[in-house]
Amino acid sequence: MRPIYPYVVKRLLHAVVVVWAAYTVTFLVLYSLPSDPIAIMVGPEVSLTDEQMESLKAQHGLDQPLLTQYFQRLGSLLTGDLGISITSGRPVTQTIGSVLPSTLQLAGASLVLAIGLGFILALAVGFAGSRGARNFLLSLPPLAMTLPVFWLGLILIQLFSFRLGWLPAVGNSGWRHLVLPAITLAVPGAAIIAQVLAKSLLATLRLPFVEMARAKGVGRSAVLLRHAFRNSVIPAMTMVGMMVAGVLGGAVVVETVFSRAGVGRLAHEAAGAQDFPVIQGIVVLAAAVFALSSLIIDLLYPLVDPRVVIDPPNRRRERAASA
Amino acid sequence: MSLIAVCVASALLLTACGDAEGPTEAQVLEVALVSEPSSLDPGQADNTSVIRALYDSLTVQDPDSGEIEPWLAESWEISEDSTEYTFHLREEVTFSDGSPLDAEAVVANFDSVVESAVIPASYFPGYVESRAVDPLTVRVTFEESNSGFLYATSLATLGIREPSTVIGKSAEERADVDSVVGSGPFVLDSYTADEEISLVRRDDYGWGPSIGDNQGTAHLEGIRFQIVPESSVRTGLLQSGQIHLDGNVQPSDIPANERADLNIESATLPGITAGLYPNLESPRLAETAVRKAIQRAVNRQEIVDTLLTDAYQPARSVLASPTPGFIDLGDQLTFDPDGAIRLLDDAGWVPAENGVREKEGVVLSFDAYYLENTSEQRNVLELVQQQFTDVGLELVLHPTPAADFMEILGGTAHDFTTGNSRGNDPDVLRTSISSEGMNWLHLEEGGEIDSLLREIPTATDPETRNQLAATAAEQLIEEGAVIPLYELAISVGAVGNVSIGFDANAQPDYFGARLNP
Repeated sequence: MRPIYPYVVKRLLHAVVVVWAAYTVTFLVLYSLPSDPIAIMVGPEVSLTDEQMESLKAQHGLDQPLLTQYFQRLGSLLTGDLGISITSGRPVTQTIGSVLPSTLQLAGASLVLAIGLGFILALAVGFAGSRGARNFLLSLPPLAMTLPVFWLGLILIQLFSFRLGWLPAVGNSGWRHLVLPAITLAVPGAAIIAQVLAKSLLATLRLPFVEMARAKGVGRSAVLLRHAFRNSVIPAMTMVGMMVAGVLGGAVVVETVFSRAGVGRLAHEAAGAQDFPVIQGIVVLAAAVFALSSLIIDLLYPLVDPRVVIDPPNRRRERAASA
Repeated sequence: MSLIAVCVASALLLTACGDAEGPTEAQVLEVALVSEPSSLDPGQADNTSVIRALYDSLTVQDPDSGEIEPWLAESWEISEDSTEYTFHLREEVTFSDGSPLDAEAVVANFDSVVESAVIPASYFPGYVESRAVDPLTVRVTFEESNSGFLYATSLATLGIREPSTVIGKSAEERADVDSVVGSGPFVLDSYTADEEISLVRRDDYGWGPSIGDNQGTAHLEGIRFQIVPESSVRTGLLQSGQIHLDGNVQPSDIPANERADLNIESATLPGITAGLYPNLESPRLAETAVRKAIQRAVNRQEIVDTLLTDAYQPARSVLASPTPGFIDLGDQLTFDPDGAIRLLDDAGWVPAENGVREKEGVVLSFDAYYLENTSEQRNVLELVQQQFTDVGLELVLHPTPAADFMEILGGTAHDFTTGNSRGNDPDVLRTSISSEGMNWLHLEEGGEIDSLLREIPTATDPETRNQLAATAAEQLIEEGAVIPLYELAISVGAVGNVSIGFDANAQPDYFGARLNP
């Protein structure tokens, strides 16, 4: 195989451009808004003099012309300085950094659960003996998608924490605190993965090579697990790649319902308070995460399906056919 | 769903011996709050209920009488024109790191507040300097009369911090969570952003506020605040015994709490009452008859009975009843729809086909912009909307995000904004309503009411200040310049063995709180 490094480097540069573009667009939108984040931070009940307001503005660098602010902040970004939060007065890196581990735990646990649950359900569909069983199982993902995430979370809290007392409802000091939130966040993801993988599996099972394998005497499970699965998992992998970014959005609700500090909740509060530096910081983080995760998924494709060739030589995109 | 069951079953197997998390130590109060303070710096925090336990103030306000009483300052003198304040400090007060709280410390704090322009700088207009006359005497000087300063020294936002944490520090540096050192009855044990704040009792504390009978340490050994944004989760935690106190009970949660046999403690919020505040520059609100008709068209009792709780009272003035300067003007705020209709008819406002009154091309359809902080706000306004319709007026509601609200207030698009203001001092009327303050009503500078309000900081005698506020309130109501609705209350929910009261600013008093066995 050709060395993969040039491709990886190319993709990393691509990721940097994505992050820069996201940063710039967000900057244009936020800093051109007519509202005044300092006034919001001070609140409607306090009246400071104009000089005091100007002084506060200057402390946050908001008194400079737009272009100067852009390059100043971009420059700071390159040295790892994301600025100061307008709401709390603390550095943005600290603000995001203090809540990031919590979100990573939640995202990681729920992705693992979503993949696990999704795969199990999809395989169950493949194994299903009767058409009735298969249709019942196939109806579960759409059902799960109709459940609002916050409602599911509140129900789980009511049942498992308040009524039965088995699991805690709030906080984040141990793996027990992760169980209910991870399940809640995993449900929609599991539904999507299950749906996509199940359909893909069923389609693969109808292909000629499967009939051949059965005719040769290969057992049902072997066909499913060894032959059909690898051929059908690519679309599900693509979904997982897209879900990594989606977890951030879903996390807002779960973090609020389960009272967990996290990047999602921070983004929600920062948006409400128009805390521009924090919003910018989160956007940069999200763009970087998304770019990196799609790179990783793309690198994983050929490991699963040898027919996929990343970065083919010349401009011919023909794929080598193999059985 | 069977797969969820599989997951949960395995979780259960592993937690088989676990039971509900509950308060572990007998004397640590477990509290759930809807949000954390925006900063642990008293000068930058939007909410000081937690901070009050960490920092002491020079004075304390008696919640019953409204008088300012000694705390860190044993006594004080104020010059005739309220430009000079001299405070005599208690002896042997120390910060939690052992260093003394003396006059230099107070000077450092006041200088820092003004230099870093944090929020309480608004209490130092015309600030000249603070000086340590001797180790226990501080003299604060202003260029102009500042009669509201004594009240300001009682607030948690002017809590005294250990000097090295504020001298020469910018607002950003002041906000550092590692620099929380005060002289209060509790110290910060741990802080996890947006999740938990843990306080531990200071065992050598001995300088509580003079209004209490406790001159020793706090009763509680510690307090653990958890941040729980969802109100149904807070209620559930309280009912299942996982916490002792829910710091933010909304009216809609109260029936559930009462059914579960929990105690609800409430306090009326001093300051400006919740109400509709007219933009006096709007053409639709130019006539006094229209405004007075609106005052009578609103049924405050119905609002309180239908949507709120016993803790909330119909407003009897633009100020709330605990506020110094409050006089009862309730007889001008009675529900009188017939009177309202008569006023409008006599002034020539005729209902059009759709029922909304108009005259000479002006239609009495009002745009009201409000901050949708709680669902109660929207419910109240919708009820007011119905009450408007009954007399031929139309109210159009515009929920507004906080980010846009300040702009709306300063603009001309609105007829009404809603608002209320916290503050247990007559000056709160000036900071919200006068043309040199927030100017909610768009008063013209130099008008009669405006001049009355602007005199408040220069009046040195508390009686005079109260009188100015009372007269201004009377005129505001007589001219229909304000439409007060109800007095706000703060409610906390507590399990049976908690006893806790409120301070003069309707914040829970953690120093005096007890956990009874």
